[in-house]
Amino acid sequence: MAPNLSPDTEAFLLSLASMLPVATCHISICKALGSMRSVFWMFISFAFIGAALSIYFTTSHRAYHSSEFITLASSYVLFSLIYMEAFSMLCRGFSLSILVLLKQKPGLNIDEIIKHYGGVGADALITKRLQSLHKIGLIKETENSIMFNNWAGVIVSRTSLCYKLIMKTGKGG
Amino acid sequence: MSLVIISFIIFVFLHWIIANFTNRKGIKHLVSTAIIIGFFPYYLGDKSYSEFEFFSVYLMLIMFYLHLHIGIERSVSIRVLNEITISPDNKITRQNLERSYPINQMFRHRIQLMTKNNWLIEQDGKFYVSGKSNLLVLVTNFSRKLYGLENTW
Repeated sequence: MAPNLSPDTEAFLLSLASMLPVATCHISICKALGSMRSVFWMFISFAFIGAALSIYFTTSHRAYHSSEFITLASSYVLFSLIYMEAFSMLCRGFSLSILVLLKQKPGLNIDEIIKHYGGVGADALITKRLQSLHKIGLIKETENSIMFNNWAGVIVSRTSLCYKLIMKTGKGG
Repeated sequence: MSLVIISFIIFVFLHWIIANFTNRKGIKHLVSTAIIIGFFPYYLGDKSYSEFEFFSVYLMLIMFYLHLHIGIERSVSIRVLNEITISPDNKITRQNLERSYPINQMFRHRIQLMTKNNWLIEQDGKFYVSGKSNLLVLVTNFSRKLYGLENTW
């Protein structure tokens, strides 16, 4: 690190630079153990690199102030959130998948895009989301209907409905 | 840290005003509001802490908020949960879910939006990726291969 950088600047830049080891760690775990739990591996990478970063920062040669640690922690969380958003788009980016499809098969009309989406068609999208909600325990499915499994699902749904109402976002989705 | 909290509260309040009283509801308006609101309180207030300290905490809060906002507004899963909530007895059949939340309509809306923003080019009802989309697709394909991601839909 250049000697003329202020400790706050150094903390900020260290957090930014730490996203490279986070990505390397995340990719390595996904390659070694499979990408089925890629989101979980992402959080493991954040925790691992975050711990290493804070140890490095607190044991570095100079004394540090709490304000520098606040800068380090908040900028690390900030860049982690940006990484998380980008990774989430890669995993489940709806618009991104449409672009990839149209690059592979240019000249499709809307009905054909819906039919060929993800190689499985648009109907599979809702099935996959229902399976994910079921897997994390928010909903349960019987033969005829879909319902909440516990209060967590009810709270998430009601809170988001309130937010949509206050911010007038419409029905969303 | 009180200045950061005040800035964040002003931002959320302004977002509410923009969402309720204007037709500018896009993410870019949200981001530009956040940037403007962040600058004013810092430069008008006291300088007891550094710019990096202020902006890293402020931007972290804004990022949390954007995650929450985009998650609630765009998430298919959240919309499914909402449809269950507004159904009688908090139960919905698959057929009723498809009726109240037609996926085809969502696709049409998204494709129209992407065409409007020049991510797609429409010619005689057929769609093609635009120049700026080409690079994005290239990066996406490379990254998906790098992470070994499958079933990305």
